[in-house]
Amino acid sequence: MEYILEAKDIIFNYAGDVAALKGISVKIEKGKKTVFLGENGAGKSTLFLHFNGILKPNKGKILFKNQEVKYDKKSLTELRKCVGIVFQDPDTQLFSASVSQEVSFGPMNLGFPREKIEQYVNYALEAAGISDLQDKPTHFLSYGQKKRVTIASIIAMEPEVIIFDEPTNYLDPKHKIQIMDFLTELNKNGVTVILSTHDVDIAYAWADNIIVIKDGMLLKEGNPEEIFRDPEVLECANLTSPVILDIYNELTRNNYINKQSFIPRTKTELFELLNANVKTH
Amino acid sequence: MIYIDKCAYTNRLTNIHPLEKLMFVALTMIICLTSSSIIIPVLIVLMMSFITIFKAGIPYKFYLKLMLIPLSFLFLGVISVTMNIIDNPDKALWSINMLGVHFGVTHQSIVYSAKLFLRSFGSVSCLYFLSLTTPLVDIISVLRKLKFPEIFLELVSLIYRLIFILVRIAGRIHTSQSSRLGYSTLKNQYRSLGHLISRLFILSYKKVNDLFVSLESRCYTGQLNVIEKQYKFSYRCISFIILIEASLIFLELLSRKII
Repeated sequence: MEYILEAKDIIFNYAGDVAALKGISVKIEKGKKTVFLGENGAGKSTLFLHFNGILKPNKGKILFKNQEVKYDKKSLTELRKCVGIVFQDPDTQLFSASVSQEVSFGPMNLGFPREKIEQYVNYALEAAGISDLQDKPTHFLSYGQKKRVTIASIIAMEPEVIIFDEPTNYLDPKHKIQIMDFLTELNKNGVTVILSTHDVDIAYAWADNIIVIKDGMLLKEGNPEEIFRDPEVLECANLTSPVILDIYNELTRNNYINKQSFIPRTKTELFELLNANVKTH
Repeated sequence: MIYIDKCAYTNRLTNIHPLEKLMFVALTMIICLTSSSIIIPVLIVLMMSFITIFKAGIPYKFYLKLMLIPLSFLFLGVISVTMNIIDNPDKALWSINMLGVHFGVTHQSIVYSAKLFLRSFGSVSCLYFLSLTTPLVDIISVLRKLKFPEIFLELVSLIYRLIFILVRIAGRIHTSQSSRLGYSTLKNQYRSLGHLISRLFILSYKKVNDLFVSLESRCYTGQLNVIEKQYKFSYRCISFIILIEASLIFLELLSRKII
């Protein structure tokens, strides 16, 4: 297994405040989809800001590709080129009134020539599905459109890791699905995707690995089945069990279907399982 | 204000090179302000209104409303110019004696204030043309090409962006206060407004921090480097501008000889 990002015993406190991270250690697998779960204030966002060097730990270290992160200007630029963060509130991320200028900011800072920047910007706008918005002012866009602009502005830097802080917040169901499909697509193209969410159904259906954080410490990490079949973890982190898993458990408990080696994670998978079992009866 | 901004992005002249529009406005304004005749500013007002309404496609009702806003200011300003302290009340068209001092209106002061009024109104119509047809982003990029100081341009662009965020947040706070009867009595109004303003201050501080973090995470170097949209110069527009300005100057020279 290859780890692209690693936090080792990170202790961090905001000035004059109690510790936000209390010696947390996590490893992010390269090319995988990792989901962070945990209550508000558990330390997810703080940890994310450590991953691209915005925050410097009081104790402990961050490893990127097994190299310890250094905090001089050059190393930070290199790290931030490779690890991008899409913040929760698009309005605080967008500084420019023009969509194409906003997206060009990252690649400009990396000092690419103009043609290359235009290429990156066009690619990013297309990938985020907002090519038609490039001449629109950012303040006339809807929330979902702004979200896409922030995503495009990160993709334009072609990072290897993209961190999404609660990407599906405030989105309507249709756009939620679109964003999640888009993240899957990104991941298929080789980008390591990390996201935080409160939506257990999304986490269960989408994640390769789940990391549960509680009070600045690691509660448990593992694949979705391991996490969501552990009632103690769910109880402790104020999580609920995903609907699909509940239905599956109920069906097997009442012997409507036999226990499977493969547990369904999405609606489609559950329906397929049901259909297959109905035919065999 | 927000509707003006919307017009700037959606009007039919958005895709004209912003430098052409800026030059057009700047030259016309210079002619308007230096003109000594009454006809030139009137012509300019008519021409600018015509271009703004028919060429750029700005709804004429909205445009008229906008033009009415500066009228009240102009009238007040012009009245104080028309009324002067005069030595000889016999020459005045109308005068009043207050504490031994004569205030009055003369033929000269009326002509002078009419010119002043028309010149200012002409300039207003020029500036409206610019703000209704040219997005601020484009104006900034032209100013950047004209080598305006970078710090000034960044300030303008950040303020411009943040105004919209602040207006929206203020609107939300106001709604939430009103829905709890925050503006029901005069006393409540003062208190709620105070809360709203102090909350906005705190929020702007927080927003700035968040914005800074997001810039940092994209390798912020201390300069907001972005690519500028490429516009093509149009010979048609440039010749049009030259033609208009030349005829205005010609008329101006003509009027000076005649008057």
